[in-house]
Amino acid sequence: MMEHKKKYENIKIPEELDQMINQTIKNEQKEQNRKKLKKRWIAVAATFAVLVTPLNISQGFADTMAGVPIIGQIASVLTFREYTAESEELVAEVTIPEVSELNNQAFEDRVNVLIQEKVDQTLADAQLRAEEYKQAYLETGGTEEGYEERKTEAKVDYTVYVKNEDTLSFMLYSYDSVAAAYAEYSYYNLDVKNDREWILSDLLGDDYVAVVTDQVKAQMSEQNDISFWEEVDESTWKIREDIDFYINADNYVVVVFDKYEIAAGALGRLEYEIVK
Amino acid sequence: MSTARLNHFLLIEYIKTHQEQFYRIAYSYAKNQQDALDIVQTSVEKALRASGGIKEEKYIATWFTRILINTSIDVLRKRKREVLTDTMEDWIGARVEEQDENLDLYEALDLLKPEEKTLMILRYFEDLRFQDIAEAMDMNINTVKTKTYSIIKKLKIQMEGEVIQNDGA
Repeated sequence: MMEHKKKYENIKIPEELDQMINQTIKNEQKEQNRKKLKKRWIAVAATFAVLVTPLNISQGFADTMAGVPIIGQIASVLTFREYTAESEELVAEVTIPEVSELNNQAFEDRVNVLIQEKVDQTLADAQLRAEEYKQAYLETGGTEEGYEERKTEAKVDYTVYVKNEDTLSFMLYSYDSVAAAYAEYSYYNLDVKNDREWILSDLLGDDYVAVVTDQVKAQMSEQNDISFWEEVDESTWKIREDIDFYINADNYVVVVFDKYEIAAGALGRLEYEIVK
Repeated sequence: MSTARLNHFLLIEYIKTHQEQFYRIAYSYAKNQQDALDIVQTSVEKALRASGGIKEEKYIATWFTRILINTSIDVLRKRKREVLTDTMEDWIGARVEEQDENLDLYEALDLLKPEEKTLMILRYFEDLRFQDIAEAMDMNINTVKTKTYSIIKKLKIQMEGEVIQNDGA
């Protein structure tokens, strides 16, 4: 079998291959852009149906409207709501935080609507991916029954970082089993006294970009196992103006970088506490 | 950039840099240029449409290979239904004539069932590890090994059988 590969390696590559590949990629991208808008709306509509029906039809359907306050005394209250949503392609377990008893009803509503919209959009995206995944699964030889066993599971939940008379800081996160890579994180930092969201320039000053950039660089240089990856030119690099952040129990800002944003993906999402 | 988009770009990059490899695999099945090009094109379309199904970057290769193989087998199956005619017989006849030189693995592929063919291409032409073949074909690694060894055995008997026959003639 020494020469077994010769004929294989000698298969003549036609000249048109390269052009055909490029053209196919181009066409497919155009097609996907065109479809995206249309598909998104269908998916959103489908998800709505999914969310609403179980609540109306069956009381016992895994929906618990759990109005359990986490901390009751202070200015704001954070409660949550749990439900399960299921479509043919996806089963989702959702825990949504809800703020209440803020001073300002309009602000409270706005925050809750923002959260709900975020969750709806997340589930619509997960639904879309689940459909694509199922389609690919069937096209590559899988069966309907086989898919049922590996049905996409999505989860939406949240974490509270700090809750005191000034600040309510929490993060809504979601992921699904099609790809851990699709995990999403949204941060909410509420200034509960003034009925608005904290922004970095309030917390760290107008030059917060420079402040955070310097601290991240300094902290990273002290970490032996973490460094900027090759794509980042450290001398000119600075943080995004809209960098994600939360406020921790010590009232410090903690900035969070996306996976791959500044360092190798294996390091995950890097967090740096910014000391004032 | 979101990881989904990143994977999509990595997929495009992977396709562009490995297109000749895809063509060779497709050609090993189809044995003609037009079908091989069709197989590659269809596979690329399917893959781009389903790129959301890529779990991790490191699985792009096995994932794409699986699509390519399934498409190859599909096209082959369709073509078989369409033309099992003179051309097919000519083609078999031509192959038999060649055999007295020596039946090498590349030609021997045509004696195999699609699944066996796939194993041989991936293992001996693409030099994939058993682990990767198992993932691409959605099979247990031990099954892949056992099958591969038994195919080699079968081919050996066939190849040696030809030699003995030729000697006797």
